[in-house]
Amino acid sequence: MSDNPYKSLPPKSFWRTGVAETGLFGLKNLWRSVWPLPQDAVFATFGSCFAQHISRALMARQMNWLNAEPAPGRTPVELERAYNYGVFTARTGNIYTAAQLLLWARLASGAAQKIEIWQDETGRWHDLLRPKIEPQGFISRAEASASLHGTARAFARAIREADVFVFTLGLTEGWVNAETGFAYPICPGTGAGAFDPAQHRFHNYTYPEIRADLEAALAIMWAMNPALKILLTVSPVPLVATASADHVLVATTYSKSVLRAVAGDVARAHQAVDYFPSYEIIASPPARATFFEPNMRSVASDGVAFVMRHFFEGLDLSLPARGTVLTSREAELTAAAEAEELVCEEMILERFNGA
Amino acid sequence: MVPDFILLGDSHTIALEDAARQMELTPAALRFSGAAWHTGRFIHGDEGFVPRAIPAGMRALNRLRAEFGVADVLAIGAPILTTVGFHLGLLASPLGWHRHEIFTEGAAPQGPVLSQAFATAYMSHYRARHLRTLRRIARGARLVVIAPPVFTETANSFALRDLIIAQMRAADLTVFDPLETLFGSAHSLLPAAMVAQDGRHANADYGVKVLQSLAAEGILA
Repeated sequence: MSDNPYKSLPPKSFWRTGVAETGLFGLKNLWRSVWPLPQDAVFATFGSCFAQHISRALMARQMNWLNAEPAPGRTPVELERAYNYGVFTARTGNIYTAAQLLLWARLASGAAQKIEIWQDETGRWHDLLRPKIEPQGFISRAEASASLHGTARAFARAIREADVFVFTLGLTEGWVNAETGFAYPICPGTGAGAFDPAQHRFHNYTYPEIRADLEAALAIMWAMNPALKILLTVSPVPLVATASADHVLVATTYSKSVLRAVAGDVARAHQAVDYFPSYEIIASPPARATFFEPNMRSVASDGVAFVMRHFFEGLDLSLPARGTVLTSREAELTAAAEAEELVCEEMILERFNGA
Repeated sequence: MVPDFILLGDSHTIALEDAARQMELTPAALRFSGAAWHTGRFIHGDEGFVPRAIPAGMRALNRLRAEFGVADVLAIGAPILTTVGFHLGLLASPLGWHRHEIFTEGAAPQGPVLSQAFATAYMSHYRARHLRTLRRIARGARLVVIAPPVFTETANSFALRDLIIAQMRAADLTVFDPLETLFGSAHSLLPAAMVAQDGRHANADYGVKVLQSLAAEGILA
């Protein structure tokens, strides 16, 4: 047999040796980071629900997960959770689509964007870019806007301070405002907002649209931080529902296929972009749906752990640490408060001085 | 002998006590540090109000118990002026670790913004016990909360103070805000002439104004 390129390929390049014979738990070398990173590399995480697992795994390993919008000091855990602190690097809520990522990038860059702020029947206000970010909404339009812009500043901080921006693409389906083009993270009327068929239009983003939005977002982010690396991943979680008129299984396959194609092509187009195969690990045939819960949609914790194992095995942290320490004013302000308390204590004690 | 009133609280009661003595009134005082108040080291039960694990507080309580011959010194029929429930420095400090600003209308925050709802929930987590205790005391005595003055405008100090006052008033407690009543605005700083030497407390002149105002409103005899 004459020479051909396949003769020199490694076992991972062949289905038999790379997948069929290894079995699911023998899969190796699924991903190797294209960049060496410093040991104390800083990671920002955003995206759809699945992205939360990445932030938790980074924190569990005490890696530098950037929390650019932390809860105030000494916030009780249940309050942090109720107000969506510590889920993503900033309090953006889920970012499901490239169109939303572009909107956030524009906000972070300081470009004025028209964000819908809606008043519910109790008089509370909600920004429809983060419809569920606070359990009760805001007291005024101004407060909703101020909070949103605070998060935009945190998003900007994430872009500027992270070494790696991890973004999990979730959906191709979305709803947009027919007049303004505003991309809603959830359909108005399903959690916040009121559905108006005259205003709210279903849109199933196509490959060209998603790619264009993603490239535009990255261009803005690189203008803010030219050294920023982007790690794309696709959520393996199927759609909870489709408005496409297709069967939800068919619609899910379309969404994930398009997102996977965009992510792979954008990674090939830019040295600063890489793709991590969390989707393949969970949802491809070798996995045989092993890691899905009985609802065939939620990813079980074992599956998340399996994905993250591949992630950390493929990460290259071979560069020396730079001594990056993510700081707060805790020490300074605690010392100031303690000094003030000491004065107060001394005043009280002096009252007992009978001399 | 029943005192003219009882002072219950932290070091911000000292100016009121000094003023009372200047006015030849006879106050009694049960006070301990803001830090102990902040961490909720007290109970109000069958024996009335009792500090917990605060030796100085227990000594003060036992002195009053001996003087008045009762266990529940807050129920002897004297009005109670209290600064309990604020202790703003300890509440505001952690909010500043990450430069948070509680939303206020018209402000232009530069850092992370805290909604009023979050700030209220945060404040309630640390002050719910104080509020419950004050309400219980108020059921058996004439209780007036004296909101402490503010000396320097630090981030969130006025916003937190406003939230605490609002919650107390919503709980039907009587709250006297000297800044609003005496100095025209709940967001005014205490005039320099009324600030004690340490810069962190009011002086007796301030205390006199407060007590005179309370008397004029019929809250104190």
